[in-house]
This record gives sequence, C-alpha cells and structure tokens, in this order.
Amino acid sequence: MAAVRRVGKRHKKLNRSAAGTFFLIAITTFFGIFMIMPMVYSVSTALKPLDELWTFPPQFFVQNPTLKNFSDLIRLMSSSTVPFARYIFNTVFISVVGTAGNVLISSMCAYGISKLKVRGSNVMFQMVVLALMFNGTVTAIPGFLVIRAFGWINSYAAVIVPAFAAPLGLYLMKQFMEQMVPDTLLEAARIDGASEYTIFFKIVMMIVKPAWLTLIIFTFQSLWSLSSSVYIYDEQLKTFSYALSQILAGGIARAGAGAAAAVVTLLVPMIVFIISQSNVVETMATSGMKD
Amino acid sequence: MIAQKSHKGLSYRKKKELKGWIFVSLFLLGFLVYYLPVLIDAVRYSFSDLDVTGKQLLVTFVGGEHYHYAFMVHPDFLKTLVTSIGQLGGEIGAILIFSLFLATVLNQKMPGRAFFRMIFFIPVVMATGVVEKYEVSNILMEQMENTAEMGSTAASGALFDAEAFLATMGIIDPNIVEMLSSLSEGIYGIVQKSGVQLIIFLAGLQSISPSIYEVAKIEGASGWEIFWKITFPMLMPMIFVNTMYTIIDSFTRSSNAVVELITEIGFQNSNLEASTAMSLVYSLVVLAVLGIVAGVFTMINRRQGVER
Repeated sequence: MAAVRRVGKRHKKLNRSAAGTFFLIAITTFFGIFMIMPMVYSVSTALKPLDELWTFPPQFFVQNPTLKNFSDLIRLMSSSTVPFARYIFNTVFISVVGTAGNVLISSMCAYGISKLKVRGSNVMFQMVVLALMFNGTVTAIPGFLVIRAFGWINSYAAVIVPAFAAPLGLYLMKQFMEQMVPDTLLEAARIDGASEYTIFFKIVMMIVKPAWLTLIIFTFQSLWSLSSSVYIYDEQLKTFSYALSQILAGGIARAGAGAAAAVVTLLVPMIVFIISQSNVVETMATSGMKD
Repeated sequence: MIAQKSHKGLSYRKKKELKGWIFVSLFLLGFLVYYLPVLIDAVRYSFSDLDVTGKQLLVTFVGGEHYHYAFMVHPDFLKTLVTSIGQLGGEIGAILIFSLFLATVLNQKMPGRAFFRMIFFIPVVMATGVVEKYEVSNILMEQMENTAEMGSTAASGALFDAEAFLATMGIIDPNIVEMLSSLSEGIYGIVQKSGVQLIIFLAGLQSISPSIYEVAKIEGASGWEIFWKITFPMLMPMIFVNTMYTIIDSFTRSSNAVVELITEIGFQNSNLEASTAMSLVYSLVVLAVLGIVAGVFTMINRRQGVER
C-alpha cells in the first residue's frame, strides 16, 4: 500500500485531474447508495416509534427517532429464564472456535492438495465440490442421522465439527493458493532448508492472507447467524440468534424490538469485517519472480 | 528438483507425499465423518422410498423412479433448470464485469476510499439469515402487499425492495417508477451480489507490483493500454477464482429458482426422495458448468503462454 502511495505522489500530474477524482467519487457514490440503502433502512426502522413502524406507506427515514426499541430489547433480554450472557457465550464460542478451525484446517488441506499434490486428492476435491453444491433441504435428514450416530446431539460438536470441514473454505483456499502462490518460490524455500510447516505458515499463508481474511468473514458470519439449530435442545446451549427469535415470536407488538435486534446482530459481523479488512496489506508474491 | 536425493531412507517424493497427507488429513477426517456419509445417504435416498412414520426410518429401494419423476413427470423441473442456467449466465457475467470495474475504481487513490470499501461489503454482511428473518420491514411489506395489492414486488427474501421504496417516497409518477424499478432492480441485484468478488479483485489488484506500472508510465503507455496489457492479464488468476465463486454462489443461493423448486418439493410437498434426486442432478449440472468454465480458462492461459 505504502509503495502504491509513493508512486502515486511522484506522478501526481500524470495521474488524474480534479475532475477525474470527482468523477470517480461520483461513480462510487452512485453504486454505494445501492449498497448502503438496506443498512440505512434497517437502522432507521430500528429507531422508529411503534406508530411509525405501522404507517402506510412506510417512510424510508424515521421522523421522530427514539431509542425505545433498544431499551425494549434490553428489557426483554433481561427477563428471559436463561441469562442472556449464556446465549451470547454460546454463540461467541461456536463462532470463534468454528471459524478458527475451519480456516486453519481447510487452508492446510488446500496446501496439501494444490502445492504438495497428494495422490488421489483431486478425486477428493471433486467430492468436496459436489458436497458444496448440495441443497440444505436435502442434507437435513441424513445430516441429522449422522450427528445422532456420533452422539453429538445436544452438544457444541454438532455445530462445530461440520463447520470445521465446511467445503467452501477448502474450495476458496485451494483456488487462491493455486493461482497466487508460485511453485518456484516454494521450491526456493525448500532448497534453503525450510520445513513444510515453515513454508506453510510463513510463506503460503502470508501470500494468501486476503483469502483467509475473507474466509474468516464468511465462516464467522454464517456461524454467528446460526439460529435454531435442530441438533441442540438444551436451553443452556442455545445460541444468541435463537434467543432473539424466541423474543420476537412474542408477536407483532415486539416488532420494534425486532428491528433493534436486527441492527445488533449486524453489528458484530460488521466489526469483524472492518478489523479483518484493515489487516489486508499488499502481498508481494509476484515481485522479483521471473517465470 | 535438486533435493531428489534420498533422505532418511525416504525419497524426496515419498516424503513430500507423506507431509501432504499430514496437511490433508484433518480436513479429510472431518469430511469423511460428516459430509461423505451425508452425501452417500442422499444418493441412497434418491433411489429409495422413505417411510418416516415409524420409530425407525424405513428405506425401500425403488430404482430410478424419482429420476423418472424429475425429468418426465414433474412439469417444471427441466424447464426451470434450463431457463435458470441461461439467466444466471448473463447475471454472472454482469457481476464479474461490474465488480472488476468497481475494484479498479476503488483501487485508485481518492478521498474516502476505506469508507467506500466498507460500504460495498455491507450486502454480504446483510445477507445473513438472521437479518432476513428478523427484518420487520419484510413482514410489514408482505402484509401491506396483501392488502394494498402491490402485486409483483413481493419482498421474497430481498431485504430491501427498491420499487416499494421509490413508490413510497411518493415523489415520482407510478409509471416512471415501474420503468425505473425494473432497471434499478437489475442494477440493485447485481450490486448486491458483487461484494465478495469486489474484495477478491481488490486483493488481486494490490498484489500487482507498482514497479510494473511505473515502467509502463515511463514508456508512455496510456491508461487504457495499461489496463488491458498489465492489469487484466495480471488479474487473470483472480478472474478465474471469482468466476468459480460466482457460479457456485449464484447456483446455490436460496433465492435461485431451481433451489426454490427443490426446497418446495422437499418440504411443502414432502416428497423428499424426489427433491433429493433433483438436487443430485442439479449438483452434477453445476459441476459440469464449473468443469467447462475451468477448461475454457485453461485454454486461454495456454494460448497466452504461447503468445509470450
């Protein structure tokens, strides 16, 4: 990034006029509006008092903003039988362990397939892609039977173990490694005496950093939003989004709290995104390579 | 190549193979434990009749009956499959071109770049199940549409309905809204689905060494030439990754017509066996599409290699 900036400064005159900059901002703003509208709408809905929630036609922007929906949500949360902190712990535990495991395990496997070229790995990879294509409806019953056969019903394992070997992770990481990591670089490292583990952690994972930062967002977000898992009956082990959905099942009168809940649930994946994206830095895999 | 001499009794290749297995094993274990049995069961069910009324699940083999049903008896399956592939082809192209365009724009030095990047990822975060479920506006919208007969704009899974939004603003004539909405819904759909692709392209753009651009500028290349002769070829790997990702994403998202049909048959008509069979057929079709696209990319790469 720093290098880009330096180059840009040196050639400032060659780069772009003020009108060009304005044009760029105009384009991004135009498309940005499409992107940000749902977000603005959610936040504005969460701030609406009850009578405004039910106006027809619905207003896009809130007229008399109030924080009552959020205080309602907090009140509903504190009146639940299982302490809400427990639900939050469950969700955080599942999301963090599942995400970390998925990223590490699928990256390692992707390295084995794409760079160490394990025999038979291509067949395995095709199977994984096939699993990736499968519709959730279809896998519901066999999935349940498998989880039950392992005795994982009513435990974190029922959610975390499938997340560990989630096909999308392997797919993305394999494609990235194949495309971004030059074999010659790894060969050079091997000749210099680096072990496979050093190569994997210090070279390959550094080069594909943007890939696994993106994968973190995916996995975290899907685990975070996992609501009523059919595998877990114990109230103590249920997730945050399940608890929220229970609150909202209370009926139309709780619509305001529901809008507030939607904003709260959005916040965490958003923060994860911001943190992970601020870590994406320029990777220099290709510079200095002569193929 | 050089290290091919044997080490501790094992050849270089054998050692590499062994280490490869260590890397692969963890994932393989997870896959064998969960996904493979699910896959096998699904295949088995598609050739059988299921009886879930008793305590135990009864599976009776009936042969290709459900496949026959999917292709010959069901009125819509084949038709939906064919039309949706055609539609998605156009959509995938549009998503790729749009995200590449926007990524190049966002890669330029300009004020508020970090902010814009964040904005363009919002749809990805918004697309989670939670929000869809709790989004009050959807419930409200649906009810209002039922009463006020707003018709075709049913908020089916979409978080935000552009047409309803414009109509409710009350400042634009309904006919113009109608016309604008089909256009804006198209753009909206594409923009909403491009978040991930945009990030992947940005990562790719940032990995191109700035010195290449510097040389090109010193040699007097125009922006147009730089894009087509440097940026585009250097991004080829990312374009491949993105194409594959977009295909998978568009074919498997729950708002996809075929996926909707399969879900409907499985749950509403409780014909799980037929829906499993259809899903299997669908998976193979998507796999074939992926294979063809991968083949095309390999061909392009080979040709470029020859030109060089």
